[in-house]
Amino acid sequence: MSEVLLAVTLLALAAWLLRLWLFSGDRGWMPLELRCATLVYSEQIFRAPGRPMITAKVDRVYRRRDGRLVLVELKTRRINLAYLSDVIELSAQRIAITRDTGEHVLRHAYVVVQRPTGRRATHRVQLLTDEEVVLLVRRREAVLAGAQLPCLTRMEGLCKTCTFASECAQNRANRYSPTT
Amino acid sequence: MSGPSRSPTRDSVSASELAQMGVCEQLVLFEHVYGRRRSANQLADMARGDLAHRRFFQEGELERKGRCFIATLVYGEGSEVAVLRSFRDRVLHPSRLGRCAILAYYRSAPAVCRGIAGRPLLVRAMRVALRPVVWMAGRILARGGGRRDV
Repeated sequence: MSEVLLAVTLLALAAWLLRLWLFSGDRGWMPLELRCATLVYSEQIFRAPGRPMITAKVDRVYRRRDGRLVLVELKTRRINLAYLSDVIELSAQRIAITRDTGEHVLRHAYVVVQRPTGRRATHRVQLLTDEEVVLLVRRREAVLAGAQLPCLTRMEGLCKTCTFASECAQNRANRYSPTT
Repeated sequence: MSGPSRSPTRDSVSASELAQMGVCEQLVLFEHVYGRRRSANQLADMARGDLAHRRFFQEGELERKGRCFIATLVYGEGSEVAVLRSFRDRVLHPSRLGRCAILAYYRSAPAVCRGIAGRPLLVRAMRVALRPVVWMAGRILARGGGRRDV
């Protein structure tokens, strides 16, 4: 019985050491999928022809051994979270690379969040389809043209630091005024 | 604060501009009409972000060139480092065992570098110790070892 317990303890210790070895150090943030991949693009601009043309500057793009590309985006934040805006940005980058180079870019990507301490954490995100990105582009055009009402954020923290807070309050008052 | 960004919205949109739609659509409209406004805190955050991106880019460039940490430290960017990089790419990289060796080297070499950096005696000793390794790698490459197309 004691031998079994010792073996389990040693196995757990070995697993813990392996995990420590893999996920610490200067490449500790890097997902296992990218450890054996090759960095092919960094800080490079891609353009997807069309109306409107989608342009994207990528942080890093890795090529896996099967030849497919994976996107990586760095964000500096105090909170260790990936947001919807990251997903949209990476999805637009995916379209730009695919249409510019004809290469196959995977539907998942990684958001690397770097905190003020310098520590990095990685989040795997599922990207939007091409159709969803195009719909979002069309919606943006409609909002800017005044054809559709813009949605307001639900993040109160964002409103507190927004530099358009006074205009937004005025806008809301006009929008929900009983006379309108 | 910059001026109004009444760019031709129908001609092109950047990924980062589109990403703002996931933050607040009203903010996207305001920035389009009035131009971008940044508070002092936001400007400081942007400066921090730019610095982090520059570092990330430099790390990437180092990764793309290949990281012969110890050899670069003791020889500089010379012919010895080029031989070792070729050995890594042509001989080690094509095999699974070789890739494991590369991974283990990348994981442990920075610590060795930290240990010998700033100690000229240790750097000289490492240079002497690496000489047969470089010679051996050069011989293997000269005999046509490993992949040719790298």
